Amino acid sequence: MWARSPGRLAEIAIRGAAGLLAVAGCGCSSPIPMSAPTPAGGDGGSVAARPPAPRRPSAPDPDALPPAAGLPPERRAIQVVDGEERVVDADVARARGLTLVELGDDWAPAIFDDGVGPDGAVLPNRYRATLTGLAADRTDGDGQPLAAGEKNYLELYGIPPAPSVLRARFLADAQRVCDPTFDVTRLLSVDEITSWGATTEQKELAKHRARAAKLEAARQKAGLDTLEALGDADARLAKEVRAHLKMEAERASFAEVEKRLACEGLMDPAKHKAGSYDTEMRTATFNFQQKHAVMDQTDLKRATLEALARPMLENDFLALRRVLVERAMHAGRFIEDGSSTASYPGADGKRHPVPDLASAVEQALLARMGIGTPEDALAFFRRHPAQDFRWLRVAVRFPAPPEYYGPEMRLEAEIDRGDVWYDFPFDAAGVRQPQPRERFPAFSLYVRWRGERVLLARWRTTIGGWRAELAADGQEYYRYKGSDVGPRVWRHIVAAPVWIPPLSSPLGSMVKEKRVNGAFVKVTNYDEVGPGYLSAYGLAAAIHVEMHKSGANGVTYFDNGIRTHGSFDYTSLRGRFSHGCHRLYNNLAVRLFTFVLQHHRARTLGPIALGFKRTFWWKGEVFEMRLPSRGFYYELDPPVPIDVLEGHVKGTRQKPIAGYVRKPGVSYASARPPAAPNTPESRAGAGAEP
Amino acid sequence: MTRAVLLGTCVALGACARSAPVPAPAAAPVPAGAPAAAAAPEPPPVEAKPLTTIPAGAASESPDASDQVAGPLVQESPERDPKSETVTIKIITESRRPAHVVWGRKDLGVTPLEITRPRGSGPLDLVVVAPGCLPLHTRAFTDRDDTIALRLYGESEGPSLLGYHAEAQSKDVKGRQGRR
Repeated sequence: MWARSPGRLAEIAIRGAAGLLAVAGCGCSSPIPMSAPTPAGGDGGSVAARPPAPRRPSAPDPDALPPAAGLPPERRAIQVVDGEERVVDADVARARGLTLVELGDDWAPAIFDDGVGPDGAVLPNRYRATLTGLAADRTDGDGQPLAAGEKNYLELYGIPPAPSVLRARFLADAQRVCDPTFDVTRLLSVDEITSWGATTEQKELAKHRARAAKLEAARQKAGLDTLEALGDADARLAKEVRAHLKMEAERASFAEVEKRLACEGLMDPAKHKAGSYDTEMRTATFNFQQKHAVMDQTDLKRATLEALARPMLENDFLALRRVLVERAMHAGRFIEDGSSTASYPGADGKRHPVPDLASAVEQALLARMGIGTPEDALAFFRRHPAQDFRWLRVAVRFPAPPEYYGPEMRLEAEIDRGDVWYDFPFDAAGVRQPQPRERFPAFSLYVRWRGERVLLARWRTTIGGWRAELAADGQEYYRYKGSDVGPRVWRHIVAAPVWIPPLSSPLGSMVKEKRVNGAFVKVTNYDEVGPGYLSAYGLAAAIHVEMHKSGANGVTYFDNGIRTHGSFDYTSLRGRFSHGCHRLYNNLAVRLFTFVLQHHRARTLGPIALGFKRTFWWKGEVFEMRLPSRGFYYELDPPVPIDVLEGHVKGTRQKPIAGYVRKPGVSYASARPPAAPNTPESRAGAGAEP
Repeated sequence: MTRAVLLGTCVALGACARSAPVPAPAAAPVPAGAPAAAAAPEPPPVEAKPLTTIPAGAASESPDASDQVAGPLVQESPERDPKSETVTIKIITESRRPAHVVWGRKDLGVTPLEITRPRGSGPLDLVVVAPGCLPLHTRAFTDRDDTIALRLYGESEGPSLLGYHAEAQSKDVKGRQGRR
């Protein structure tokens, strides 16, 4: 099995910030099966983050629709009523105020829908086909067919698996039989397994063996039963004994990891050297983490170990729930994911909490599908052949939207930059200085309602900071890449945006090797440019512009290169810096901007031409980068206000240093750094993703 | 579209065998009144302008990313038959020096060349090779009909290309570092 997931990782936002915590920490307090479930998933009893058992509709069920037969696929929906699944009429469901949640493989968020021009012409949203192809494991990021057995594990990159992919996982995992000696207790006996590169690993394992022999000899000499007793008896050896026992536990856990990865079909034991964290096992771990939305980046940390400890069907069930939440939130046109603890004034004169609609729609949908356990989900997928996922949808009643909903909500966004350091992060001796942050940047979406600003959702984001940059003299310097402060507006939202690398971009990253029509060849690398999930602007972006009144009724806009955008680099959202832009997890960016378009007046501009070409030399050959389109544009009317707050400036400097600063330990040819460009495009990227 | 083809033919006049420095590529044509997509940015603030259209295939060598920000938005020109199941991609190079267009393992033929592909079937990463010329890697998109006018570079023309000096320089720097 060969996955195409790129090499940078982290963990997923299921519902937003709240969901993120749920995945990362789920299971910590849950009971874990003490012995290996064989076949995998057979034990559906204990589960991390298990939702409450869905309420199975029982009479009376006012939302149950009569069974309908002979309907064309586009009019079919399903409901589970009294434990029995039936096909119902989708049109009747709509008329009854039910929501249709698409379970088809070709579903995509509405921001990727085609538009219609003023003349009635279709405005093609071309990335949609690629997006659905990726989700369904049909194609790669270029829309080319995947090789047999190849998988896209792209949930962490904002592309959840299509239902038929989940179906295949459920059916395959239900058949797997794990090594009967697989021991979950041993697997979870440590919080983390230390790993090294190949050379260091051999040295460390040899050291471990030598220490084991030494301690064993000492134990025998002392006539003690255990090494623990040796440590207690001989203070000089206590530290070594502790280290040895910790390592022993880690190695024992490592052996369980090997069994588990092999069981899930992610690692071929024949290609793996037992006990070694070799390429085969690293790849398998990476694929496992990507598949199950764990952000441990091949490290064997607690979240990975807990995911490995779960029965396979439990992990599949968690994936199904994440997929359903994503689709349900889009179907309901909701954004409230539990990350807001605010309240709003109601018509009844009382205050009402902003609801956690992500949880509510998940529960409603699972209940209407008759799914409460992994086994229910398996039964669902068993009764639906793959072709059903061309049309499948569920007719379900979602909670009524809060009062502040409407077709033209007065939305506002805000970015709090949190703790900000302008000081150069090295002292005169070149020693890095700590710049701790207690408050991290946060993105907030508000709605104006009855004279109040009501928080709908709040998520982590990024701001700019000190970044290395290639200057005109060909040398790297540090530069403070700040995020603009003050009131701005979103005027344009872009689906599948394209980022143009500035001339200072390293050319090496603009060429890659790729399989093309049966041959591996060098090609121009469009990954970071987009459109695509790896684009520096992610799957969706909003452009920050400064709005100025001009003349009597005129308005002018100034774009300083800052965007709020999705990002494949999900690890950056855990505390790293951008080049000034405000990054969001890709799925949240798509959800956010789709929500804005659905609840704010907007005009579909469609694909915007770019006509960009760059020709460059690389290792004796000539490469062209051709970018025909900027992406699929929407124009908000009026623009949506976004305010970027200064945050708390820490340290001694109250303003950023302008221009380049020499990197400590680097010898520079020129006496002084060249002038740094001060153009918007230099803010927007300057050689790396913004 | 025709203007793009003409431009391509003109650009292709830089023959592979020539060793003289190559003139800077010309800007792409745009319809009268349409702002160039890759034009240098106006000094801020930039006035919002009505949308205009630009023909497909009209690519311009952009000196920097300035069109990324503050540039006017230009809508794609409408297609003649947007519902056709296939698209046609014309590949043009210097007429006196036909070049082979290779897609992975397959030699698609000699320029000028027309390729018909299913619409939306993904881009084609092509290598264009001609005797005496540096191999040229380009990409053809299958979203709509397109004409790609290619300028091939002679083997001695490398120094005129972006990245040539950087590569040479980086080798030099590595060498100097190694001597320390």
